[in-house]
Amino acid sequence: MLSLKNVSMGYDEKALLKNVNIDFAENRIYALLGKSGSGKSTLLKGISNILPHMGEITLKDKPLNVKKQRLALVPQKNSLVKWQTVRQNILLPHKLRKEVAPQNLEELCAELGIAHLLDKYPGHLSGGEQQRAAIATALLFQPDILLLDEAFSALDAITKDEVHTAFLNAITKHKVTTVFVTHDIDEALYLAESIIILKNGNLLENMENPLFGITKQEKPLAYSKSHQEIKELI
Amino acid sequence: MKKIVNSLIVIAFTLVVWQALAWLINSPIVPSPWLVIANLITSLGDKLPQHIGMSALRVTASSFFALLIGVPLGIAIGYKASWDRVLSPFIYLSYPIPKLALLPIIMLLFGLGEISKTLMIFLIIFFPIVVDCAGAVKAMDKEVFMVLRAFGAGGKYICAKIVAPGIIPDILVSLKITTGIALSILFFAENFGTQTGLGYLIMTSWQKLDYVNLYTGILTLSLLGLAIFLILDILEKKLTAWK
Repeated sequence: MLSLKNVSMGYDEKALLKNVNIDFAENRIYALLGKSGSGKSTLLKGISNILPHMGEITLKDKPLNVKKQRLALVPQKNSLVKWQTVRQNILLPHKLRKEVAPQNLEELCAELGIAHLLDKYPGHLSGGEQQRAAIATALLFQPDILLLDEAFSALDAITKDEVHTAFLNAITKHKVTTVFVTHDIDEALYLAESIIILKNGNLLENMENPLFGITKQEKPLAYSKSHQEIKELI
Repeated sequence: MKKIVNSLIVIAFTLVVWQALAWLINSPIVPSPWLVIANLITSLGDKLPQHIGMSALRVTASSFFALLIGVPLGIAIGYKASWDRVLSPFIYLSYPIPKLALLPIIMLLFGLGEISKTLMIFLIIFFPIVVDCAGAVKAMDKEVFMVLRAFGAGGKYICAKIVAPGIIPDILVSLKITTGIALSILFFAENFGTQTGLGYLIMTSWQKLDYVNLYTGILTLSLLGLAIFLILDILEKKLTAWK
């Protein structure tokens, strides 16, 4: 699906990511975990055409091209255009590509719990509602790949739990290949089918996650064990 | 409603103070406000609309050209670091020059006609527009640009469809600030090479010692400024509901 071969990138000739090779399978959810400076956000910026890279990035066996292929990015915050309503924001990617938007906008927003906010401006929404709107924008676009850069980290604990659940339900229903960057091990354990660990710009581990979709409250011991194992690796 | 009542109180207070000064000074130099208002109403049937029209046209034309050139330039400087590096030194070097000091040069280059007048007012409005627009773009959330680029948007689309409408509040604030200065420059500019405009009316009335007409010109200039502010207020309400 999405393939990275010998990918290196960085700022001002300082390589933050060194010869990384990763294959992301279709319709799976991946977490990119690592300490600050490990290169996880840099990797996402390279894939989403924000940073130049060396090496090869292909999507569906073709060189990645954001204008021709479909890619969506949800950053930590402030991803909505402030002077447009939530509805206009969600439809914006279709407008810019001169496409007819899918008819399921209202349904998708209901799934994410923001159907009542469609005619409001982002400035009138809470942080959690803004992130849900950003996720709705990305999902309605029907991307080949969805990238999230610490998309839940600015939310408070209760809102984060709510958005996690809404996000997981929406992603599994709409079957989107997803790569999300996080520094929260428990978040990775709950939301990701595979966990990729980066350390000092190198790929350290690409592991299956048996706790995917299971909350910490359901299996506290397993969570604790996996958390400790990952923490030691990082 | 409260705003209207407050405005009426301010107007009434100004008229009372003005009338008190007229009584105190008791000289034709400070005529009664009622004489001036009566003269303003009478002059509306004479040449006053022509003076107002020409002054309004000069300010509007200058503002139009300042926006037409200043907004895209400000966006380019704010959005692209390379444009910022090349153009900002030029802007920061030219901005502090007192524009009135350029008046003789502009007159020598473009004569005494409308071009010189429009250009003078344009120069007053242009620089704050560029600087404010560039600052507003730099202050925008860069995450929005990242998201749109990932969706496949190019720089031109982002600047035209996202950045430009997003900085309208800053443009309106900039216009409000420059309006007062633009009207002062208009007064100077209408002192040469023309027989129309409120500046001309004020200066010729002074030369003729016609103080009632002089005050009528000043009051009309003030009302023109008020009208511009009101228009900008209405535009602000209409265009920035999202704030």
